[in-house]
Amino acid sequence: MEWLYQVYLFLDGFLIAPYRIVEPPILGFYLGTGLLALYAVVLGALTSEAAIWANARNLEDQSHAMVRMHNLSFRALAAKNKKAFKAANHEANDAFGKYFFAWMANAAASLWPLAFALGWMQLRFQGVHFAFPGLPIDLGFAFLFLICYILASILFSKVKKRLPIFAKSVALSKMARDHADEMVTLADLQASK
Amino acid sequence: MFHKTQKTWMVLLLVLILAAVLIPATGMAASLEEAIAQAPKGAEAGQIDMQAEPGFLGIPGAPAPSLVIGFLWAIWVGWIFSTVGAFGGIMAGVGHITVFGLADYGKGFKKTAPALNKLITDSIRVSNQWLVGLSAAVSSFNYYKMGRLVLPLGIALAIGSVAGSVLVPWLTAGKISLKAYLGYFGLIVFVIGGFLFYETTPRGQSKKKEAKAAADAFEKSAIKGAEKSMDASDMGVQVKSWSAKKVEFTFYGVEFSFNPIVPIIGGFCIAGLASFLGIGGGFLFVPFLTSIAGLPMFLVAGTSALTVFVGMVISIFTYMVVQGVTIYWPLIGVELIGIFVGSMIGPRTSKYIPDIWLKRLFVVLALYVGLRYTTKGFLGYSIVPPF
Repeated sequence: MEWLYQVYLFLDGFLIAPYRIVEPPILGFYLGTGLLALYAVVLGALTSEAAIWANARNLEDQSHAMVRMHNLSFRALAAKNKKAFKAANHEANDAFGKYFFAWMANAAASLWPLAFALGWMQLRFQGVHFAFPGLPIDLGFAFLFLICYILASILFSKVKKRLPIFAKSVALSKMARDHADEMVTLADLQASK
Repeated sequence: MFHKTQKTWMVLLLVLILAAVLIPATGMAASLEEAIAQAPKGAEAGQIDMQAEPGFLGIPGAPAPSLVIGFLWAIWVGWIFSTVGAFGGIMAGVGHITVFGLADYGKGFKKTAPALNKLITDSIRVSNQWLVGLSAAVSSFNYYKMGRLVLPLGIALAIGSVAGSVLVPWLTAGKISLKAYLGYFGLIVFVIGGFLFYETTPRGQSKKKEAKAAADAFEKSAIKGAEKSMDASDMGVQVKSWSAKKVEFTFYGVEFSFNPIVPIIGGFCIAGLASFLGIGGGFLFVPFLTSIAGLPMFLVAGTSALTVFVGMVISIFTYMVVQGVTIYWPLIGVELIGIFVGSMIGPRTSKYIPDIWLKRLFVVLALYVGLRYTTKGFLGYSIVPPF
């Protein structure tokens, strides 16, 4: 593990700098942690993009299979065929399971920098507790980092659409949304009446 | 038209989570620094050698789980996740307990430094929960996007689940020894092995075939004509009657019923168990709600993912913030990369290995792991090699 410690030492100067830019220190903490979260989000998005390039066809096939079985289950329901509904629903869940694990692979690809960022924070902030506005208890670095990470993810998702390097994942997300539109919903069944 | 109701349920869910995480803690477990300070010093087993290199959690002389082994083990876990699902969570736990050498090290402190022994147990539990919680977060988000998340049922489950997720870490953090944890972990491996075994039996197989045949048959039948025969009065979910014992409702004219107490008690037990062992309850929620509570799968899958997610968030929060449990982050990092690699390999190899043979392989593994952990935990020695 010495090598990992050396990597952290190598990066330490760069990562800690934003923490020291502004006063008071708590503001510096949020600035530094916010930037660290942003690095983790961007690095994760790049890895995830590579995974999507490798798996695009697989994901598309699974998405089609899932939508088909989902719609079939709803039509069975509309036909009041309980046996067919249960069967199709079971198949839809199986198809979803496969689709879900394909996306899990992507999620793991995008989340790994989060854990390493927390590893660095652990070296720096283990045992320190920070005040969080509105909460009666002080929080550790992990939860404050997670809040920054969620905010950074939301922010980056707005910018990502404009960056050509992420074109493949943006296209795939659009396809997923289109498929979601193709899925029969309870409201559609109601409207068809 | 359901927006207002959905918002109300969403707010109720958030209040539940907030209330749970802000419950003031008493009986705090010892912090890592305190536990190290209390442990006897020296180079013998059950002692801390302050001159030694820091290992797991920065404890001097503790084994340093190899990140390379962690990575390779996670590829195996990711491969299982992407081929048979639930058993992957168990294998992640096996890695944290055995492969990284933490169990034997932790057990050495049972008599000399019980606080340190229990802190290592809690750290293993929370490490597992991080992996499960992250996967539940992704699945809840996907279900939500697909419109398959049913908040009212989620609330009933979450009431029980929140209670289980808060009470179990609160009551057991810093109190459960590694030996007892091993024993209980072994028992749950048997339960999962049982589920997998059932799926490989002729009965389990024929049920699966029947379901597929019924779905295919329906697909070939005149679907459009059937849709037109729907009655406006049958639309959506309609509660026909309800009492403390039974809720009867129709879902597009098809009748379903459940006992409202069942999801609450079930949620409590499953979340409590999941929190205690540091595993996800998803694999228990789905069969529980479809088989015992008799609910349609449509209402179950997304809702159970949400319940697991809520349970894991609260449980991790309680362990880490309220009880001050520490975890080793770089290990989670390499495990995520390993799971990613494994999940990429899984779908590509499953074309060549039949599903039933994979399940049989995991039944044998479950039997071995279950026997080993149960006997080590409750008898003090393993009845299967290595002894």
